[in-house]
Amino acid sequence: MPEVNASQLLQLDLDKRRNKYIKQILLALLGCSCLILLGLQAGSYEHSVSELLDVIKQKITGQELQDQQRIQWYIFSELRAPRIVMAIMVGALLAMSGCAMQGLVRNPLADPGLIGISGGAAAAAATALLIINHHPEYALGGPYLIAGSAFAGALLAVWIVLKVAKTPAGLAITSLILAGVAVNALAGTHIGAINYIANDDALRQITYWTMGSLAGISWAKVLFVGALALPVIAMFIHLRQPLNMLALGENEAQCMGLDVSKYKRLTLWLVAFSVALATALCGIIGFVGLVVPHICRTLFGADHRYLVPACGVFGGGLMLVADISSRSLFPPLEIPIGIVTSAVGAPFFLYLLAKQKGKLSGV
Amino acid sequence: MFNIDNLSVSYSQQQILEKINLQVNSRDFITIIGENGCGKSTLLRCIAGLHSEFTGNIQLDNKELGDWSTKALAQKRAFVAQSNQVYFAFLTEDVLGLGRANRAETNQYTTTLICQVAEQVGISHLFGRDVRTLSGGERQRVFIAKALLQLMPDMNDAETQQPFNGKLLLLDEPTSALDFRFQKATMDLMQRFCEQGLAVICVSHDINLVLPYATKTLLLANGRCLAQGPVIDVITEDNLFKCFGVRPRLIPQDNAIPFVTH
Repeated sequence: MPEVNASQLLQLDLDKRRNKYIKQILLALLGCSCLILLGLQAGSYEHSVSELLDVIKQKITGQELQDQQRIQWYIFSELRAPRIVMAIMVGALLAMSGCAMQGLVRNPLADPGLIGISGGAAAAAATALLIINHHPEYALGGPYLIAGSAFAGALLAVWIVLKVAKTPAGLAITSLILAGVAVNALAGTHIGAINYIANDDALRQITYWTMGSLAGISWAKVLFVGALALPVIAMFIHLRQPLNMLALGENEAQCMGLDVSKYKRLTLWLVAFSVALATALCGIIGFVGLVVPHICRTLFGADHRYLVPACGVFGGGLMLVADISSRSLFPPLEIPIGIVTSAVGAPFFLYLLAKQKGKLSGV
Repeated sequence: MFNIDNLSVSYSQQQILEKINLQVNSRDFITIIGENGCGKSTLLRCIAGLHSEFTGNIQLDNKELGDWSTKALAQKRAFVAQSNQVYFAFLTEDVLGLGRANRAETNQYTTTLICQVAEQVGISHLFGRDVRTLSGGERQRVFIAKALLQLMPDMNDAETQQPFNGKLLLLDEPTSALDFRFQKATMDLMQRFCEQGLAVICVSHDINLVLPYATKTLLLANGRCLAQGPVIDVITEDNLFKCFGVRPRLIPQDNAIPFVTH
């Protein structure tokens, strides 16, 4: 029977493609491991992997560390290891959010910041920084206050956007994007006003915060983010087939048996939560959510079954690269990581815009 | 199986559909004919469950349409829209696979179905192609195939003689982008599936193409049903004049279905 042969051939083809993609993802994971090793060595204090291994071995076997080794151990365990883990988690969260956002609005140029998340977070964080600056008695709880406010601000912004875009028939994507633009503008005005009244010290802190940074990441923060990020990442992976269906249009997805309004809401809140979490702890890190899905689409095609996990791995990897660059480009100076990602991301975004000029009508 | 009773739809005080009654059974091939903007697509969208702001009743297997879960409904009816946009670089086989996305079945079974339907719809040669680069007609056939896949039986019922019994396919201008050959091929295919139990509701402006296949015709004008029933009763000069405002010429043919021309 000709059909049987054809179906065997197609199955062979599909299997081959899946194996290729799995191999690529495994390779990327291997690349990430190399980056982790590099990240442990690089920075204003350089030490080799073998030195580091010696220190870890001695620590495990309970041997006394020398002074030099004690510094190495401290840099490894308290400074570099937590920020590397954080970089991977934040990169994965941002990239998967970007991928989900682009799938949801069916536009490859969408970014999670589009719906006001980063704007809301920055406005709230700036407010918190100003308050702390004026009331030194709050300084002790400062980092928590800033992170908490940023998180709340991000979610508030998304809530407003969702409220505006809600129609009886579900969320209207065009209104969603326009409301996001308005909320971002409002947040910009708020930040502008705060900058105007803030003193030099507060102004510097606000500016530094909005540039994003992985400095000062502790294990406590890593554990906190990890506990929240892992279920979110699992949910993103669960979304891969619904995102495929949504890519054909909402009516089409509804007809194929997807509860469209439920999945739209779920996707948006997941994106909002992830970006709010990342922004609250690390400040604004732009362009990862935009650029990584693009890179992955060129390697893995449009199928979200591969794209979503690939974005997680590549997002983590890209953040590692950005982190290593931020620490080692101008030692002992550390460039805020948001500057590194924007410096690479913005030109890439322009390149994409130029390349896709003709295809932007489908928003 | 589908029972539409007194269906009315209005948008901001404008009546789109008024008191439509329609009974759809297995093996029916129903064509809906009417002028632009008379409510044909809205009627299809209501039956598809995409538009829930209506008065009256739409029942599927004696259960209100709104009480069906999205997933269960997807296995009972499929919808091919007028325009089919794809926003990312999906391959033909990826899009077809989405027709089976909600089923618990082996990859092997899915692939067999995909190949079987692709062969019948004549799109096997499009495997591996980015759907966005296909011509309008090719893409339309891919979406027709996907809709058929959505209605194909589960693995356990694979051997049944009437795989489409109790299932409905809604087509909104399915042949508008198709060439001369595939217009007829697609209609013939629909008829073959009707013999296997499928019910089809087809909105089309190509009256002469669809009439020979129709078991029932519904003539819509300004949201109201002008006439419905067998083709020879409905397609009369007077009815068509009332519907379109121009007097047609009906040329008698051997198969008793008149050929409609200006």
